[in-house]
Amino acid sequence: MRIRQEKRSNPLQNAKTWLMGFLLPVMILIMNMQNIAFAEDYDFAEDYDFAEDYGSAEDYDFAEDYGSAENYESAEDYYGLANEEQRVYDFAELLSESDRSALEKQIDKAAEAAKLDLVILTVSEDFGMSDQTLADTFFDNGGFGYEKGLYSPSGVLLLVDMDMRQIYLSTAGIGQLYINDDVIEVILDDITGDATAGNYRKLCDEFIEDVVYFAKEGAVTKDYQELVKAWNTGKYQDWDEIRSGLSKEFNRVDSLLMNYDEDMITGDEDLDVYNRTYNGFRKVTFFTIFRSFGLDFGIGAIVAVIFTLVNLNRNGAGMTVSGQTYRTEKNPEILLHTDQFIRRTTTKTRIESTSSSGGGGHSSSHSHHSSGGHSHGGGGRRF
Amino acid sequence: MVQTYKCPGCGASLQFTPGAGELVCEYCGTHVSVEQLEQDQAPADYKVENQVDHSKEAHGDMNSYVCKNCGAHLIVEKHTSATTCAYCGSPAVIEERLEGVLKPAGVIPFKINKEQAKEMFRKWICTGFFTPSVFKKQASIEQIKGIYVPFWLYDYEAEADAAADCTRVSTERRGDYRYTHTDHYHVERRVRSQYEKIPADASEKMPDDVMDRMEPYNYGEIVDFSMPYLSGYESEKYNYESNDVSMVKRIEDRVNSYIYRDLQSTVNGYTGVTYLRKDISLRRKQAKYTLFPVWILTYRYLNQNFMFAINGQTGKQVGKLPNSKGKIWGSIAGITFGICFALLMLGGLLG
Repeated sequence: MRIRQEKRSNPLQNAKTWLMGFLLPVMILIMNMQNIAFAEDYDFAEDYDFAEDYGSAEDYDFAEDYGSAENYESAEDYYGLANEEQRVYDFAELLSESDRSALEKQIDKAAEAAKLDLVILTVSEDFGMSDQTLADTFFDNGGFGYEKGLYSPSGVLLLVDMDMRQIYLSTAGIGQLYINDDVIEVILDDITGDATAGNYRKLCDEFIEDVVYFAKEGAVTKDYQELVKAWNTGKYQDWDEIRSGLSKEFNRVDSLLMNYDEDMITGDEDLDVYNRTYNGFRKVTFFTIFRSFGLDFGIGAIVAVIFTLVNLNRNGAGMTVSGQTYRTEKNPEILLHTDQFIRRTTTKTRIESTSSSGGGGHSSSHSHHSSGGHSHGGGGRRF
Repeated sequence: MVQTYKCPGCGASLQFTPGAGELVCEYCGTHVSVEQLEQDQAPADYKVENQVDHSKEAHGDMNSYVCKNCGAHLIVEKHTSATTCAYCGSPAVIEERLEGVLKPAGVIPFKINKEQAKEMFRKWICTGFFTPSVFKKQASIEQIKGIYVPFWLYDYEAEADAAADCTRVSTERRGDYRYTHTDHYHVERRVRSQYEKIPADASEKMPDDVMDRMEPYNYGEIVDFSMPYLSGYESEKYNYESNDVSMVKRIEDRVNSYIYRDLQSTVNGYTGVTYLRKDISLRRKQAKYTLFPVWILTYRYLNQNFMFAINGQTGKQVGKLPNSKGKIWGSIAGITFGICFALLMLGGLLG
């Protein structure tokens, strides 16, 4: 006589198991792929060449545009000379003419690659101005910036101040994003040695290379690209406009901005302080940790193992009896019960008040406003 | 001498039926009470028709008898005191193994009948989460057997005597300092407990751990022993004497743990207890031979033996179900990916 199954649950359970085991990983893969950006938008380092490709100094004619350092009496003189055509301003005459022209060409290509303008400025006399002011004002006055004409030109300026023997990097516009404070430190690490040794040409080469590298590093996520694209069209006066979704083609941007953390911007027309998460502009919440497949898988595995161990078929029913079951009286008979106090020992400890140490910092850009009204980031170092 | 009880109405074999509390004829439905059968015993009846074959006794632990009903020659094991004919199913009670010094002091008659037992087993198979589906179809439920298992019920008096160093720790705070006080006490206790009717099965075949888990039995339903109760079931007489070394060790280990627990329960309110001396003395007062009803099903799956047992009086079930490896891994994978997917969705939407 066979036992008839009362429940027809088995085929259903098997189907569920197969569903979970195979279809889910596929779905997860598909989901994750949406977040992978593609690099075709950007040039690669191989695409732009270095000094060897360019001709000699005679080809260029801006070498006579400025004379030696003694000719200047104040910082204004510097600013006056800043113009849109030129990127290398060697007032301290640290570089040769061929160097300067070569660097101009390099910067041309680098700016395309990094989508940032690069300016190199050397002075032997700072006229009592701080490097920050000097650099920022120079940049603003020169009308530099990638995608000029917009409310916030983006670029990075390298200032070599021979008077104070300091290097200073100034960032503007989206340059503040890509070249944030941490990156500035890294670049300074890279080039300070060269400055001390007097290899100024090498210093500039490194500067350009580093800026391109970090700019490309920073522009990887697709979401971020969309936002920058939106910004750079110049169609929008401010973030609110973008947010209100006036243009259909930027609806995706709009939805991205929904997650934009308003605390991260001051509401300026310029991009101010922000926290760069691995998502770019995405706001970080508690649930963000669940975007990691590894963590989710780990949690799933742990729960699954615990569930299995708990439900494993065991010997049904344990011992349910004890001495209580078989004892004739409710409680044992007590024949002797003495507790004799012997002694007391005491120890004394001092209670320390604990002080908490400061928390870690985020990688961010501290920004300040130059007199021109634009916000800049920056950092400097002595050499 | 083997006894088979006959129905006064139609002559068929009578079996003890749990629902009725007496013997019922399967064919004509006549009820006969146990007391009636006790009185009606005519010793001459079976001397002629059913004989124990003494010539076979010399061959070790096998005895044989001739079935009163169908004439089959049946072999019984050394300790079997009741059985059913393998050919015609007719119950047989082996009187010599239940008389005189071998007579049980008491018996708990079966309260759960075979149909109920089969139903319990059927339900129990479905409870396991990882039970292989193949297994659920295979189990041969018909072979469930009702057995009276021989038990010794022990009465013990136990005393425990102990001395210990106990500490009680308290802390207080005064100003900038924390004071930790440790009070030391010398503690002495002596307790005595009487335990009564602690059961231990006296059958070699029955696994001790399964039998222990069948407890507790309701002793209020122990009745004086009478052979008709066994009719229709398997039964064994005790394999071990009450003072057998292995039985004594088993029961005294148990009593030791009980009295020790009792002792510990009297030492309260201390942070730390270090025993300096522990003496336990036990005194066996008596042991009574009793038969307890159990439904047993043994089955085999993938070269492993499993036993499922039901307490024939209270219905408590003890047994082990096999685990299907496939189901275990399938469920681990399913849950892992299920949760993983859910969390990823959560992170994607809200993170």
